Amino acid sequence: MDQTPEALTGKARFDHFVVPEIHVMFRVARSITGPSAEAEDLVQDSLLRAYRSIDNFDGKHARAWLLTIVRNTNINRNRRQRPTLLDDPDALEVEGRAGTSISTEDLYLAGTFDASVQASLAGLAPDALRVVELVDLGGLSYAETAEVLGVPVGTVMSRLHRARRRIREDLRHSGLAPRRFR
Amino acid sequence: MMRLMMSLMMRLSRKAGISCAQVHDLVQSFLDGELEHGPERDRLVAHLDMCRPCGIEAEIYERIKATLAAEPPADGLERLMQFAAAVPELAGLADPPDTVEGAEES
Repeated sequence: MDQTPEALTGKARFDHFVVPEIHVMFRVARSITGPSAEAEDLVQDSLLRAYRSIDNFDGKHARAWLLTIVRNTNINRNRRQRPTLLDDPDALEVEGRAGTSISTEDLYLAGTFDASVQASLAGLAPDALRVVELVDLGGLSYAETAEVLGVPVGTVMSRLHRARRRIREDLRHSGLAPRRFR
Repeated sequence: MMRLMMSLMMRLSRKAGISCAQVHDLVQSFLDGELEHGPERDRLVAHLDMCRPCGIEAEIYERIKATLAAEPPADGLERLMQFAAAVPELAGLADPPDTVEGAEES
């Protein structure tokens, strides 16, 4: 007899809710760490955490739940690494803003549109970054994002649009987009 | 002064019955597929076709969105899928990770 997804447990529940979202987890991990092997390590740690929590997951908004795990796992990884980093002043420079492993300066020096966009992400306020992750990286609608965050749709829109305008302005400052006529 | 005049003209200019300033306010929702079908959306589409600055603006936001949504490399994804298949065994071996205070996962 087939089980409903909500009734699944253990590996079957993990396969149903988590495995189809690995590509999105990887995408968000790369936005946090930069395009490095560290992104794969972050997703691996996140998958282990997700598996351990899967039977307590309520079955709603799996993607948003998993993206939260990715971000929290990154915070814990940075916290664990911090004592080592504090011993080496030069190492602090590669942590970058918002715990990224590649500095914004490095990314700007790469001089590409994609690198500039990724660098801008690191400079966004946490609330704005969360909305960008859910909508642009996670593919959630405004309404889904509003439900996940417990805020009105208008708040999602304003945070998202303001964040993208910031990214767009950073592109202009990098010489990768023209001044906007207004 | 000239820039101010041009700026004012751009804001007030109306093409296809909608101003550049209105397009600026709506274009991101349009690109996200969140603007309902109707006269306002039709006017915006027509405006983007005939107003070069607004068309460029839409292209920039489209490219930002495409960059953010870019698929990760297939080889890395394949390795992660293989890792996921082994997670039930690995989860029993590794120490539980630290938890972040005030940042529950569900």
